[in-house]
Order: sequence, then structure tokens, then C-alpha cells
Amino acid sequence: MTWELFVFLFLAASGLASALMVVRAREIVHSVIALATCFIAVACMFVMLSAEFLAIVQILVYVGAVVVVILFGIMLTRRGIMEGEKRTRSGVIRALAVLALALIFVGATMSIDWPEGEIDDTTNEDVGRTLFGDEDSSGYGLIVLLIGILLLVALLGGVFLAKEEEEG
Amino acid sequence: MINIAYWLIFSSLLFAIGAYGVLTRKNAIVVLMCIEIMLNAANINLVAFSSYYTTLHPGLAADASGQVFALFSIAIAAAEVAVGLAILLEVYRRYQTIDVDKINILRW
Repeated sequence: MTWELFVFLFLAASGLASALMVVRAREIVHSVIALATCFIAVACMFVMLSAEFLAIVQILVYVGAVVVVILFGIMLTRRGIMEGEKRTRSGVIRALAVLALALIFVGATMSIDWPEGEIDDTTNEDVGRTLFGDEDSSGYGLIVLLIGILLLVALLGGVFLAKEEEEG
Repeated sequence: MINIAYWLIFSSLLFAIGAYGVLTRKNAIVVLMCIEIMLNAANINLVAFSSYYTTLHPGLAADASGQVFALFSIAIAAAEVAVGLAILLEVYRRYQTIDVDKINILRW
């Protein structure tokens, strides 16, 4: 049991446990806290995979923005103090279907003989070079621009949809 | 020295938990949160394959394309949460509920 494996198992256990809490919590705010914990566990795994830039972006965008927006959404859609019952009729068939899906994924993964090796040491320069290219390649700059347009359209649409109705 | 299979199995289990939440919960905001869990699972998968690139493709240099893809995925997921919650606010204003079982006006 190396240190790396121990850290991975700890992060995986906390990520899966907090994801399970998101699904099973009685209070919705407990779900949100568990969701933030899951995101932080995933960010730590990104650091383990030597994707530090992505880990920072994950914390900034997911924990810092998505969780806050979800909390505002919960605040604005409260129906009294107690949000009573939490799930629909017994989800046994759904749970079995999801279990079958998970077993198919895990079985397919374990049936392949993955080569052993070290994790690549990618740096921010590698990410920048892949994004914007260098003399040898052109990079993904066009997609960055398109993502920017997508974000603009999405936020404009969101603001318009959430606007209060005008009088007359 | 972890085999890549560990990361892929974790990603699959996280995805399955998110899928279970989407199918089970009644509150539409919790459904949105579980969709975010599924997106995170896919991101872990992408970054794992990107970080094991020289292991899986011996002889090639390290490639950060998986991380870049995950970066785009994070941006798109943030936009989707914003629009999804705006739609939910509008639905709440109209029907005074966000119970996915009760918003069935398009059903047969």
C-alpha cells in the first residue's frame, strides 16, 4: 500500500460517499454541502493527475460559482420551511438498473489489460500550448472563442429567463 | 504507480451514483446537482486518459488534450447550470412547485 494508493483511496472514498449523500440527504442544503465536498475531492484528484490548472479551475468554477448559483436557486424556490418528502415511489428497479450500468462499466474496464506506467508530468505550458498552439500545431483557440460565445448566449438567456415580469 | 483502471472505475461509480440521483429525486434542483456529478465523473475520465498518455501510447510525447477537453466541459457545465436554474425559476413562478412529478403538462 503506497502513499499514492492510500491518498487515491481516501479521495475516492470521500468523493463517492459525498456523492451518495447528495442523492440520499433529507435536507437539500445538506445535499449542496455534500456536492461541494465531492467537487473538492475531484479537484484533489486532478492535482494527483498532475492537472493543477484544471484543479484550480474546478474549484473556482464549480465550488465557487455553480454551488453558489444552486444555493440561490434553492433560496428562491423554497416552499415553506420543511421540504417534506424527498423521493418518488420505491426506486428498486431504478437502483437495479443503475447497478447493472455500473457493473457493465466496471466489468468492461477490468477486462482490459491496461499497461502500467507513471503519470505524465503535464505543466501549465503544456495546457497553454495545446490550447493556443505553437509553430507545429494550431491549437484549440477557435473552440475557446466558440465557448466564449456559448457562455455569452447562455448567460444572456439566463438573465432574460429569470427576469421579473414588467407591468403592462 | 496507480494503474489507470482505478481512475476509470472511480469515474464509472461516480457516474452511476449521479445517474441514480437523476432517476430518483423529486426536487428538480437535486436532479441538476446529480447531473453535475455525472459531468465531473466524465471529466475525471478525460483527465485520467490524458495523464496516462505516454503510458498508453509508448513513444509519443505527453499530450494535454484531455485536460483541455475537460476545461471546455467545465465551462459548458457552468453555462448549463445557469440556464437550467433560470428555467427552474420561471417554472416555479408559474406553477409554484419544482416537483418533477407535478410538472407534467406536456404528458399525454
